[in-house]
Amino acid sequence: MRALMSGLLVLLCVAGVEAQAQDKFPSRPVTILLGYPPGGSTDTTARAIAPVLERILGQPVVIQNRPGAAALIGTQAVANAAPDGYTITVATTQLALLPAVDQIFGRPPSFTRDQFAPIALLSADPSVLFVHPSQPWRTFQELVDDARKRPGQIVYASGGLYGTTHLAIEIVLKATGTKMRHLPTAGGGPALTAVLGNHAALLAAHPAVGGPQARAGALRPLGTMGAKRVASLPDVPTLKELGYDAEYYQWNGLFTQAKVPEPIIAVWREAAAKAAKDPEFLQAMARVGSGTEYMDRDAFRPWWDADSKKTEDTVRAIGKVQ
Amino acid sequence: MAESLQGLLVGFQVALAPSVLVYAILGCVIGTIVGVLPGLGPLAGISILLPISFGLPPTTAIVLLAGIYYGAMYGGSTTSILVRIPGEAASVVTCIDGYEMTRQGRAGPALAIAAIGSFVAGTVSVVALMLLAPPLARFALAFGPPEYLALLLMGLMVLSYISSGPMPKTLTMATLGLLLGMIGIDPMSGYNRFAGGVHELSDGLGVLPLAVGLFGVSEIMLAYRNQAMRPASRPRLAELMPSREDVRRSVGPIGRGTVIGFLIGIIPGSAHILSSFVSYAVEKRLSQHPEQFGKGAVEGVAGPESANNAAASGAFVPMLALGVPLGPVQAILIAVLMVHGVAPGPLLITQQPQLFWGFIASMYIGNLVLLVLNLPLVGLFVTFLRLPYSYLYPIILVCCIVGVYTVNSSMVDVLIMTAAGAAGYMLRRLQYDVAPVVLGFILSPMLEMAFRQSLAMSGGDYAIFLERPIAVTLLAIGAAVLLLGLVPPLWRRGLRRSQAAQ
Repeated sequence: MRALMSGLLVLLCVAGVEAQAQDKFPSRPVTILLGYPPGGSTDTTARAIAPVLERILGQPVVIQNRPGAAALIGTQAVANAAPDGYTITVATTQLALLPAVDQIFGRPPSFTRDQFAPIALLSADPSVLFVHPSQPWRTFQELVDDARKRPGQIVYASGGLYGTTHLAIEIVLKATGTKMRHLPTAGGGPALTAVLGNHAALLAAHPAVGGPQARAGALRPLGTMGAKRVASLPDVPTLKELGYDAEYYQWNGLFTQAKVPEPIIAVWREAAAKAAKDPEFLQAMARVGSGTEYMDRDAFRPWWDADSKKTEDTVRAIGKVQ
Repeated sequence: MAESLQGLLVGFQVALAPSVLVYAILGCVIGTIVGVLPGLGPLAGISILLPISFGLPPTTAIVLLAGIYYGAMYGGSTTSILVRIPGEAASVVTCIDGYEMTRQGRAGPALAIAAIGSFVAGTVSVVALMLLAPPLARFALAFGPPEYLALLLMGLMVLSYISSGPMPKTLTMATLGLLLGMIGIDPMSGYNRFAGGVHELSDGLGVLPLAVGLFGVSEIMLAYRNQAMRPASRPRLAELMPSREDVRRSVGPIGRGTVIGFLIGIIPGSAHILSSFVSYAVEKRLSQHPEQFGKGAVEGVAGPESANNAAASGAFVPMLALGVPLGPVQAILIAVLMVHGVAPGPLLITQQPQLFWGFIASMYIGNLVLLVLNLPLVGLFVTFLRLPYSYLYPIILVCCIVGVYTVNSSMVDVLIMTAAGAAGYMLRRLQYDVAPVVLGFILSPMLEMAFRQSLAMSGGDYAIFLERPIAVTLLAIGAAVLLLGLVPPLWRRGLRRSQAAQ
């Protein structure tokens, strides 16, 4: 009898927990699934926010990297995950970029941008143009003048075809009406090395990547691609100041699937709003040299649409290479 | 010099602090396990353990991860020698003579020589790293795509030494490897080549699934079929340590392997995998009895194993001196530094002396730990071989599958390994050597990329290869070696003719 009673009690408790669980999201661990490998900027951003979200949501936040095929494998996995709000991602331009690349190759897209719902923008850093210090250009205008004089002669390096470092320079070339030669490499590190060794004259890099090299005199920054100057490089003008409309950011935002119900997205938006102001998150981002830039969904969506359009237009303008 | 010694003293104070020392040893132990597990290489090991390191202070984190890295380079040879399964890509060459030694019942000496060679190479390279990092790093930066291409063309010449089979068969296999290496996204145009719509194939087949399949899985299948393929005599425990003769024959290869490996390791790109192949070729060329290579020559273990460990240390030169990652492992370590707020760059050594010297000192300690860890393990590993084959082979197969799967959590990789195993079985039944396939596979994407990058730089002008001093020098050396290689056969033919005339 006693055993029966305690058994019933246990059952009641379990049922109670279950009922409660269905009321409140999240009631089990959530996953941040990433298309990029550990150590990259989406990964460090995810790792900066995960412990803070864990504290806010009261559930473990697990980070899972599924890199491969230029982030396509992981991003596709997010797109196809159950739309219950338990799988989110930190993503960047790849959401617009990869379908656009599929399109120019005439392949069916592996995912589309409208499969994703934005939650919040977490960080945005303007791309910065760096040149090798032995190059003659002291200012961005001198570079542009020289490039006009000898179109297709100056070599720039990128971390890979259609990647952010490639698109940034193509946007600059379009805004200035110039042409340069493209040296694609196998990633951000090799692109940096190519310019440090003067095998290419310039690259567009994240301020945290090129900044330390510039402070040591190994690179010369000529211009930044943001709306305002970069705090760590206060003397470097924006291209906007110089009269060129060439804005481009390396950013990271939180996304989930478009089919996730609105009340669950609301929980995420609230959590992201709190996390973005949390000193632990801000400190972690400052350490990796990432500029935090919070925007809630409603402000972020038009910003993301505009950025995606710029990405798609630039990819189409580049088209197939040879 | 005095400054270096002073720095090193500071470094040892940092590295010998119990909290750091524990992580150095832990890193070495984990690295050894990662290296021993087939398929699971240093990159996968570090990626898996990266999140843990974010909670540690920066010096400790770097010491732990670097320990995993060179621990894996150390441990990678173990399965190559014992069961002909490369533990990581740089240990592929060790399969050739290392496993032959095992079949002759000399697994103990092979493992011991690999451990000693790795220790010597690791320690000497750290000295070089400590004294010469800044000038060497500037030298590394001079290697752009044209120089890289010239170097890789010399790598192609290594092909002829990597197999003891007839030349037409060797070249056929090398071509197969070169073709397999072209699968995946073409980095210069974005086309997805020969991938058949499988996203996982767009990054290429992957050297580890391929090598584990071609070497290891095929070996298990062959040995199952044919009792004579199995290691001939069970190793006796008394013969664990190398003989005086083994040591005498290994001194030269270890020394040359260290220098070759360190220099190749500094160069940007993934060339460090080639260090062990180059060392093998050099030893075979210099040896007075090249016919013993492929049949259990101890030089074929000592040289390559020293080279790949020296290359592992050399790869840290540009990272520490300039803050540029030249390989994927270094890219992760740089990210770790950034997560801790340490800006990696040319000023790292002056601004973070504790970190730099602590890291250097921990590498000395790590190498010693690995030697102390690995030498006694030789006996244990050899005992493992005494298991009956009906137990041993299934265990190995399971380890292969788990190891290869873990790297990318990808079933496609396991399927590649299986297919490569079946192909390797067929090829070896037909008396084709599979080592050139792996070398061709490693070389092909690098060659193509360097060639097309060079032409992208010059706007399609081939003169770029002749305008740059380092590139043209390397090409000239390559051409000279090639022509000199032609001399002996011609001379011999002339000799035969003159003998026939008499």
